[in-house]
Amino acid sequence: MLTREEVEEANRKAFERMIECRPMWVDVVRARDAINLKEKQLLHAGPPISWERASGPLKGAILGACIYEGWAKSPEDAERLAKKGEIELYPTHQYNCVGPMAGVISPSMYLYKVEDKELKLHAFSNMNEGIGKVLRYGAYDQNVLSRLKWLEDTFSPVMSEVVRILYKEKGGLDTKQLISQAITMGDDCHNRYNATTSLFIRQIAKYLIESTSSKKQLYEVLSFIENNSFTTLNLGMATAKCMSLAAHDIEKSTIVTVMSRNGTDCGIWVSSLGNKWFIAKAPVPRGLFFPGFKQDDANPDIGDSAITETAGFGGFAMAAAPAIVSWVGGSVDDAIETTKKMYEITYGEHKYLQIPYLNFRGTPTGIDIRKVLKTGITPIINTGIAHKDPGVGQIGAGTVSFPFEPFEQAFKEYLEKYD
Amino acid sequence: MTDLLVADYAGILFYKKSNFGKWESYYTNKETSILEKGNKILIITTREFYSPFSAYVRGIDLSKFGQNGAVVNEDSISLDEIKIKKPEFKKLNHEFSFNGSFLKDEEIARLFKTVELLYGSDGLNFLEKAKRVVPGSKERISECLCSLIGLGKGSTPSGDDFVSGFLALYNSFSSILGLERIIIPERYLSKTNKLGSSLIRFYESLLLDLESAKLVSSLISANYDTSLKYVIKISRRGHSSGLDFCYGVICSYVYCKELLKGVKKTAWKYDDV
Repeated sequence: MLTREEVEEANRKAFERMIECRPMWVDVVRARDAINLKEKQLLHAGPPISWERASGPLKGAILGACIYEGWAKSPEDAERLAKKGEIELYPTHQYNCVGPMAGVISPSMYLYKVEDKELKLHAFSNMNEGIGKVLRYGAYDQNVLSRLKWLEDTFSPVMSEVVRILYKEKGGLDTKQLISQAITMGDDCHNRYNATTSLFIRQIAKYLIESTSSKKQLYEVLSFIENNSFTTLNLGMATAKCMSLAAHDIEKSTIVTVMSRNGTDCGIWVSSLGNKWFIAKAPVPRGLFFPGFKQDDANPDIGDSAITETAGFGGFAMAAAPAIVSWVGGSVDDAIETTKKMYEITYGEHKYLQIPYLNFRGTPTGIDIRKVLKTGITPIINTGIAHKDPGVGQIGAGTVSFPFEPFEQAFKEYLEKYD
Repeated sequence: MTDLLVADYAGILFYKKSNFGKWESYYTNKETSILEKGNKILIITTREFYSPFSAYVRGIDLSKFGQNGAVVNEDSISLDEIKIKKPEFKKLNHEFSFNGSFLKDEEIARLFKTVELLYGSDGLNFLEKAKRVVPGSKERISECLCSLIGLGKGSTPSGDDFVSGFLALYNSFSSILGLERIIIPERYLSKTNKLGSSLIRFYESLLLDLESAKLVSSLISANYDTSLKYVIKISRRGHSSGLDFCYGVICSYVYCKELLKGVKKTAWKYDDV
């Protein structure tokens, strides 16, 4: 019979593995090579979903990916393929991948590879396209497709060479250290990556020079990074996935290891319950909108980016990022309160991710389903807001509370498993 | 002069003469609001279906207010121009129906396990004390329950919550089956504070809040899913108040099951199922 002490011990182990995990950026590799993604197979964020139930932004991203891959010539062609069931859809997490918003990954796309050598874990995420009209928010016009092609032909090969030199010299880039430093500089590392991206450029600058890239390529890459503070979001997400993987599959542990949304449903995984999804309807985020858009235009929450909160940063580190409120709404006090609340539902405080404003208290880390049930407090996530219609893209950013039901379902399953 | 008032949905009033200026830093949620006027602070919990005894502000230890608290009899609470109407407090035992079936042993074990797994480490001391109670005859049960009154911390001590839960279920069964209810003798209530004794008197006479009533009725109708749902909902009350209450309800359920089915098996043995 399960004892409370055994649960505590399992959670301690999961928590320790999560915070001691040492993710390193070690490679940039195409999805078809990294995870054996085949023709007409696509990954998407969140729990499994069919084309019929997919939300507008996910449908838009699927259409865009089909054209990008050359499986369809037009959105109409792509829609016919999807409707006929010729496009296979799989959740990213099933492949140790994560993707922001729609999270659509196709075979030709390049992925960041992050690994913990000692724990023999690796995780992947795609390249970030910037904000506004981008594939991950469901846009698929010619500009979106051209940018994806540029990421494939220029940005990714340059990054690939940089990381190979980095790997040879020091075994890769320590991404936990990058996030740790960025949090002390005002990033939450979910919706604010200003410091992280600046630090990233410092870390890779000399390797960019060492690479065989032309001046034109370097100029383009650096201009892209200059204009896209979210360049490192996906790398941060792969880091968080690696940390969460370290805490996954610990027998008897009640720690959450995945929180994700697909724009229709949202779901969680729990360490001791394998890869089973516990699902509820995705909530609609509230926040600040770009000019011309309003709350009614917002799609329910979407994306794998809640993996950052799962690993103890993002919305959980909002107290470290007062400036984020100009992007997601609310006040600085709200940001601080959010972090304080999250301490009530987490196992412990992160040893390496610390918040200066809270006297260098570690970020709340390791969501315990028991504490969610006991307090009624659910995780708060910083998130981007996609338009509900395909083809439009990002319309704002805000915060959202994860629903309670998945935690309740998971606990019920847990009781039955350890009956 | 009253420096602090804490009023909950059903109008429990706490008061203490002290300086609570630091309380500003405590956060609230949509269910709780804090109003300040000079050196007076009124804390109102507006959560629907809440127990009248669950006045709770996260992060604040209300345990010291138990002795000075009281159930407010007035229809409304006033603090200068702020006036909060006391909601109607209904008797809900008419909702219960018993068809002769009980939850399975493994389902009961899961309810016990839920309470245990959701306890904070502080609550476990009481759990151990409560486990020493061994159900026996009705007289023996009354005696054991009386021994728990006033035990533990909290604005309503853990023992009071446990006893209230036990009586809520037992007396509900009694009212359905026409059996004699257990009434705690007045002399034992002096072992606890005013809030605790009020709590016991309310639940013993089946004046239940909606969540508690749902838990009791779901157990009586042998509905495991609803019982689990309400154990989880009630567990959020206070520091461990809700869990202590649920523990009392489930123990009482086991006792009633044994009594009505003629099976002798103590509630605590369900830990081993």
